[in-house]
Amino acid sequence: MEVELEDVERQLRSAKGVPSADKLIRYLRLVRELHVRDSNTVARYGNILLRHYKSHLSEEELWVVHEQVAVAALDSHALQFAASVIKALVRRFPDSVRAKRLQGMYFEAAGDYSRAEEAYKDMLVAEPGNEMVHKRMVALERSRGNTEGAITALRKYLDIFANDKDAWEEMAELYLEVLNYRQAAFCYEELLMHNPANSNFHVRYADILYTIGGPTNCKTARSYYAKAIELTAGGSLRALFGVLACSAHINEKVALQDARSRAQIELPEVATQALLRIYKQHAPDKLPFVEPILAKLGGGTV
Amino acid sequence: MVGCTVDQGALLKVLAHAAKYPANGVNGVLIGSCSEGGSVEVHDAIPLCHTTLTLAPALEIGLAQVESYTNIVGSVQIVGYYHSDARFGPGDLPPLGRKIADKVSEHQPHAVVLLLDNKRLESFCKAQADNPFELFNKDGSKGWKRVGGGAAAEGEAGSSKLQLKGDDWKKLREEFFTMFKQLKHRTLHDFEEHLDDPSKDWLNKGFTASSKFLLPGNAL
Repeated sequence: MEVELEDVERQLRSAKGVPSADKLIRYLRLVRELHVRDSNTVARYGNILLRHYKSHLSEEELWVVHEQVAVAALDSHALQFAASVIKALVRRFPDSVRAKRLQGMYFEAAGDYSRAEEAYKDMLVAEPGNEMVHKRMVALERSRGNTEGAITALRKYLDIFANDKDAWEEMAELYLEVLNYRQAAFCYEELLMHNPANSNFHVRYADILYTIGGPTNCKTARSYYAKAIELTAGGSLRALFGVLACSAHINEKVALQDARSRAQIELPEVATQALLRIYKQHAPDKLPFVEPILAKLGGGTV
Repeated sequence: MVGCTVDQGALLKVLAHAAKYPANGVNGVLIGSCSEGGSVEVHDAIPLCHTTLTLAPALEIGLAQVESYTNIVGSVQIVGYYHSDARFGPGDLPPLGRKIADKVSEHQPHAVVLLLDNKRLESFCKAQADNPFELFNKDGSKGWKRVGGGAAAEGEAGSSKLQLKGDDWKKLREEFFTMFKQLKHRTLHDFEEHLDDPSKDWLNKGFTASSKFLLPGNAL
């Protein structure tokens, strides 16, 4: 689908005059599905679509597109344009908190944080359980540069909505921003519990443990990198390098007792060979830069 | 306080990196040469991260690969670090950036730090300011200190501010706009992208057409 997105974007760029409706619609759909954040482009093409081709969209998609374009416009700081789109949305859905929260976001984008906070607090009076508005309160603190405040607000949110995967990821990011690695690690433990087959979470968790450092953390990190290698069938460079980096910090001698200890002993060599294979195939010009690193970390034959 | 001269191509890469990931913090390494007296010439920028800036592995492996590269080429070394924050706020080198800069300065005691200041970037784009970068030097044990203050005064000791080779900031701005319009910044690849897809070239050979690109075996 990423290739499809690139394709349709290229077609839109090379269009002479006003691009066709179905290409614009397809582009915006793909962006929504892939969760791509390219706000300049979305705002530009969304503007054309809404100006010329409103009738081509179903009632439902028309307003989803309005929302998408409004957010993109805010993200690209096209405030006047954003305001016009938001106005249309609120006019169409006057009782909707989902529409009203865009007004709050407008104030955020304009830097008027106190007005945004007022707006969100009003919305919470009407709908105290509204997840979207709770999340906006977190984002508001972030925009203000008050990361600690954002962390407090998000912790309250997660107490109620403990299964929100995106929220846990955001929480981890906030903790990393204030260099609180231990709490960030805890967030990834939550994420891994609910998403045990997610190789990215395994790698990220291992990255955090490795960054905290110490032989115990390196050992744990190594096993998570190893799991990630398994989950990606040896394709993750981060995990392969990670295994080697950890092994270099673990000075324990492991006696060859069983399959598990054999795996531990052989892991650095296996990772080294896998990395060499990948570089030979995909980035042969980088091989001379990688070989000395592998020799130092793996200690094995290169 | 000694001076720092930067090649336009290096700054263009830093701007491209930030432009490619407008919602993220980005960082990378600066390579070039350093004189006996400590004045630094930056020839190129190697973009490193746009997501895991706070995590050690990608940074360590990235630095190690860049170090291997400079060892093999021989005529350049790691001379600095660049950093740009996601938030549009007052520009200062954050604690994380200082830590990473410390690590980079293990390679070169006279290492410099270039901070891409977002507010100054806005002025730069509106042609209200010349230079969107802040230069930092290591002040002994006091850590990283800004050099030259805000708008560099023309009459001041020229060697203590950031010099652009060719001194044509207007040209840099024009090239940046052209690059942005042509979406060329999307073709820049950082080390993190390389980790996720090894075919992506963190050296970005040929990105700046006029860059003095050094390959093992090529004399400059």
